[in-house]
Amino acid sequence: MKRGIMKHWNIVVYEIKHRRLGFCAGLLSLTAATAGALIIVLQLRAHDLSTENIVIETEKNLRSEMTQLENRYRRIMRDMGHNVLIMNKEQDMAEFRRLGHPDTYMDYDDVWKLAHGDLTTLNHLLPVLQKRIFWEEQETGIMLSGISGQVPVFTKPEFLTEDHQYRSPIVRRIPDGMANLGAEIAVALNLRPGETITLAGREFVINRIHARRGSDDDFTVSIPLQDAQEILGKENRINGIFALECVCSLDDLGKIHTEVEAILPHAKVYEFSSLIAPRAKVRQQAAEAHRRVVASVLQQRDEMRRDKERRAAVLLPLLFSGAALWIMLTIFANVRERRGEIGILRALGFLRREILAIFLLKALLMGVIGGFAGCALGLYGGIVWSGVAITKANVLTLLDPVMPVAALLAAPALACLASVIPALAAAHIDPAKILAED
Amino acid sequence: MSLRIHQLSKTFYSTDAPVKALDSISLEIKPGELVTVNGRSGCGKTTLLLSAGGLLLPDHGEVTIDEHILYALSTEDRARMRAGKIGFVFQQFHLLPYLDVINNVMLAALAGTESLARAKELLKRFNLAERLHHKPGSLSTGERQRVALVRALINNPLYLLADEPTGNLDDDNAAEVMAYIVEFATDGGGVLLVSHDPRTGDSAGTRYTMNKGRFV
Repeated sequence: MKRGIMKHWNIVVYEIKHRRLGFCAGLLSLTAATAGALIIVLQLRAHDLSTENIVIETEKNLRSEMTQLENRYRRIMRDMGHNVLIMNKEQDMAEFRRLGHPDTYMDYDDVWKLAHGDLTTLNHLLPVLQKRIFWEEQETGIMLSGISGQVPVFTKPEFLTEDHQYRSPIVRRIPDGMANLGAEIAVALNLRPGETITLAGREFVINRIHARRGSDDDFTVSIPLQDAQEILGKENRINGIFALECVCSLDDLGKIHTEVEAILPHAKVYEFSSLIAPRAKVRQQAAEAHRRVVASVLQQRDEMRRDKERRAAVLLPLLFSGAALWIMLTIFANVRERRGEIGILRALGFLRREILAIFLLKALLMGVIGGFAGCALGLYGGIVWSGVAITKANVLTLLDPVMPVAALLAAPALACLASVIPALAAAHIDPAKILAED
Repeated sequence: MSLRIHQLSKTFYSTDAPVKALDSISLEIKPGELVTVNGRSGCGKTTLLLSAGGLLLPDHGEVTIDEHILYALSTEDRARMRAGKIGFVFQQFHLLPYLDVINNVMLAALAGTESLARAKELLKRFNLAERLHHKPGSLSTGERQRVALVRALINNPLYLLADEPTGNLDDDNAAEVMAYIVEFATDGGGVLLVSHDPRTGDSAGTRYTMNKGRFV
């Protein structure tokens, strides 16, 4: 024959009602410990969430800055003008560098083939014929440059008027019978705009003298392309096509090659890397700076988290051991108060394990109620004090279903563990000693 | 069938001189027999009763209940033996203050619904029918002892061990309680009643007088 669990449960419930204070004291400590633990964990999760948001925000800002930087550089590149030169594929590049111009040639029609081709990377095309010559009339060496007007790129109608003229040409056509001079040559020969010069037996009126550029341009005499072709004996020939304001970055060069070579298989593209590389370098540096900012933010946040973890590592054991100690003392006090009761229960035939069960059931009840109360308080407090905006998304991110479940299991477990020693002491009370005291 | 105490001895050791509470005590309680042990306080009566009930291990001798040597059993088996065969009544009643009358009685009950019916019937017989849901604090001392008596009888025990059951009662209540105890014996139960109260001596049955742990 056995007593049912309901009998023990009745004893527990009625006794709790009878001695509320002790039970509430234990309950309070468990509630505080559970709530405290949840708040600490939520603070750590909130920290992670804030870090994530800060990094996202920082990256967004930096991306925006990078885009602005990119646009600035595009404008600078555009302003820098000629940045790609298309020349004959057979051109020896060492010779090109030595002479300062190509010494292989292409047909003038090639520029029109490009103009009608499928171009997306080039906006303006300028055919040229250049050669370093000796200007016999002035007895000096010059760079002779024959240029025509810009050839319209028909795939870029946004730059063109209805009759296929450039709305804002970058290089203006040199009128027939006129010439433009570089600054150095003009100074050396004491030449001024409006004066007439003779070049290879042909007369040209000086149209313009360029400002000093510190390059070969300062020794260049530019004349209409057709005149240059005739003087150099290269009718209908050119030795280069400058692509102006190309929308290029280091990454786009491959595309330019592909596009140009698809239209002109005998041509190749030479890029002025001295202009593009710094741009790419600056961009890489910006990206590096970007990464450093994010890394610095992450490091700072990481240090803060470690600091919080260190505090949690001290606080959590303190909370739980404090609660456990308090529950143990509470149950010990309860055992002491109920010595007479335990004596008569043993005299009535209660087994030791039943006495143990009565105290452990009480602790379990304390743990379950304390767990629920602590859970509610901890989740509420943890979210309110998390420091993140209370939105549905944030709350859902902060709340991990494991947390309340763990708290609801940990609180009763802690209460029962803390009560084991006093409950065992109760179970081993000598009833004879108690009853003999009467 | 009987509760037999044979050559029971128990000495308590303290900082002062050892106290011999029981000195080779032997007695037998047969069904329907009321055995009364009288004596002054401290003569060893309670030690005898607790030892007889399997709560206090003697130094020597043995207690046999229906051929079972009580102290040869484990602590838990002795508890089971007490729950099924022995009813205890104490001078201080030892009712649980937070349980009402019916729950105090049911506390000792081993079986379910039939115990509840028996508890109500016994409480009615002991004039406590109106007090089922009263807490001990609101009962008179006589009522409390009657509740303790009903609790002792709820499992229909073979033996009733009573320690000063009338010690705190007035004459009327003492007489009433004694009448119930005698009735239990008359109905076939064995009773060991230890008391220094002379009012218990009027009851029929075997009587011993104890002094310094021995029957005189």
